[in-house]
Amino acid sequence: MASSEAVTDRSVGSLAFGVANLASAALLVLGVFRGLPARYLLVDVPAAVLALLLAAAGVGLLGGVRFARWARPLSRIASFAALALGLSTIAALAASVAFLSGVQGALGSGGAVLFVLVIALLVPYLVALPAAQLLWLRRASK
Amino acid sequence: MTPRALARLLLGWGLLTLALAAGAHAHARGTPASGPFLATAWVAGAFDGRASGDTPEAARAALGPTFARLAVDQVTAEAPLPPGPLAAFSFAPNVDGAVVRAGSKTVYFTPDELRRERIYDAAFGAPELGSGFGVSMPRLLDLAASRLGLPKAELARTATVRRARMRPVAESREPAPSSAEVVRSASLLRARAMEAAYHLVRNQDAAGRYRYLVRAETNAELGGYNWPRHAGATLFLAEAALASSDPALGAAAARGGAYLRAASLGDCGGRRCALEEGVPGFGASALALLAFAAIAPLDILGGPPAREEATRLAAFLRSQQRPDGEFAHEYDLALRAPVDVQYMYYTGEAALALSRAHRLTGDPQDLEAARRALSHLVLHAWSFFGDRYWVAEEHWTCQAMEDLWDRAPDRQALAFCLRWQEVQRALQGPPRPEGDLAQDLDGSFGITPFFSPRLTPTASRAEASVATLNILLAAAPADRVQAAAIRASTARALGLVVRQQLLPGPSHTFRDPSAVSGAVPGSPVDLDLRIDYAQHAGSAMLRYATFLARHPE
Repeated sequence: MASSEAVTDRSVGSLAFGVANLASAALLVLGVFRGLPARYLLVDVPAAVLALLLAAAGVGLLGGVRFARWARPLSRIASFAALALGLSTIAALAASVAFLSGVQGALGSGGAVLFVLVIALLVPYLVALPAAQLLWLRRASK
Repeated sequence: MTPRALARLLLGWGLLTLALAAGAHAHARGTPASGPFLATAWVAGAFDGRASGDTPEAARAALGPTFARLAVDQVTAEAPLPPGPLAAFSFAPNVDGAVVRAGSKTVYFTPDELRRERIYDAAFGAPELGSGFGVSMPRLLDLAASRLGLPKAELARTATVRRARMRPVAESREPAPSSAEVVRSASLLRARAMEAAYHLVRNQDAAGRYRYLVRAETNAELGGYNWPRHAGATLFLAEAALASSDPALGAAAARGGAYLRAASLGDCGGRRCALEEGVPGFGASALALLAFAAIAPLDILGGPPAREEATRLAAFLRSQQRPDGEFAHEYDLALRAPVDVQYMYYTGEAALALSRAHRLTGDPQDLEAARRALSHLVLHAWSFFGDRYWVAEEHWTCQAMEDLWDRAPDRQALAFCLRWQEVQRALQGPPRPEGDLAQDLDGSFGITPFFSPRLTPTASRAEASVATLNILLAAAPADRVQAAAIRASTARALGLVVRQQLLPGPSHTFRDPSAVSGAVPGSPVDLDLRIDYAQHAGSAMLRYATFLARHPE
């Protein structure tokens, strides 16, 4: 019984995180390559690499036993990469706000709210999802 | 990863981010410096030489005897620039200059120089349309290369560029009026409005055509022409003439009207309309009507009276109106039929124009058309989920609401304008104590550090504010809280416009300061002068001066 529950849990988890990884990859591509007005290698290259990793992890998790050997290790790598990129992006944005307020004086409330909203947009995909996935992968590997 | 490890990671990251932000803030503020003082010689608005010293006097003396105009700036802080595109956002326009060091050579650029060379607000966006942002580092390097006499490639490889915050030395600048003076003094605002009007007069030829777009620094015309703006400038001149009883302003308004009639008015299917490059212009016709309606009381326009032109233009506007009150904003000359498309501003302009036409003609059709247009604007034109937060440009709408109030009061229109004011006040943000913002931005709408505030939208919002305030005081005199809020917002907006009006502005950087005196620039860093900039600013100042005279604080 316990084994069957674990299998079901793993299957549901694989499905959920597989879809979430693919959706994150698509949103990342959309946000960076369609949403940002200029190309900047410092942003574009990590975003492209992460989108590829997330897409591959998503396909792997959805592919079931055929991809079982590499799907979860790759998901782990993709999650660490997403978490690292997410945390460093948010840190960079926070530092940017602090930098701009140093240059410009008190930022307008609109500008501050805008930055908070951008950060809030990143948290679900680049912090919460990879963190949850890492916890799930650990549980699923037991 | 275990939950405990994840929690530790996030905690560590949070602390690191805080430290990073604090470091970035300190880095951005730069290293305080007390000097050097930079004396810059300006001849005919162009840079002519630079000397530095430990005191303002020493810097001036180092320049030697000169007939040039001098400006003295003190470097108060220096900071390195971050890498990549962030460097473009590392300057507060009009406050931060730059210092470029290449080997043993050093060159400073003052904010005056960066503004004059169009280096601010030029890195991204559409600078040519007035919506650029960020400092253009390539242009800054070009300027440095030419000043240092080094190839740009070598400079880019070897030079270090730093931000240099500067403070103009008080005696080298003429002070602008303080905000407190601006917001309480009807006479000051009135005088400022008249200066804007005289600027237009000085930039009008004998035929009545204006110098449409002029670069303040060079006094060169930049080309282009726009009939709605010609009509708007003429409207303002007529209002200023009426307010001042100055015959020179009346004559200029008449010249503007005569030129408008000769060069733009034509026939649209048997009705009088304004043509733009041969194409019927609905907005141009509405503005032309407003101009002729304003000129009519002056009764000095040669040829057919202005009243007659206004009457005929009103007939054209009415013929474009749909049953629901909206207008078709195009007219097809070949088909002799309206084209049912809509553009921003036009319906509000037409509503105000028809209301003014009714005052002249007494024709109830004009009043009814204006009333229906206003009703459509406030009930249906901008109606969707979220319309309370995402608002359109409604300065004409609220002026139409005010103009119609004595004959067709529309309480829904007043409520609409009050809501619009509420959103505008939120965009304006709270009052900023002096020194809280690096640049002079207080009073502008939609403050962000990225875009220098455009002064014409600031002024046109003030026009709508005064219109709304006038009706609020008449319709709900007990609502003192809202009236006080609108009043404060209007005063802050006009405070910014007045501070930025070129009286004289940074006149040492102008080739011909007298030619641009009284003008209102596009923004604090975009000193291009278009005729509608003076129109909206002058009109807003005149309206608020009239309001203050009736309702002193």
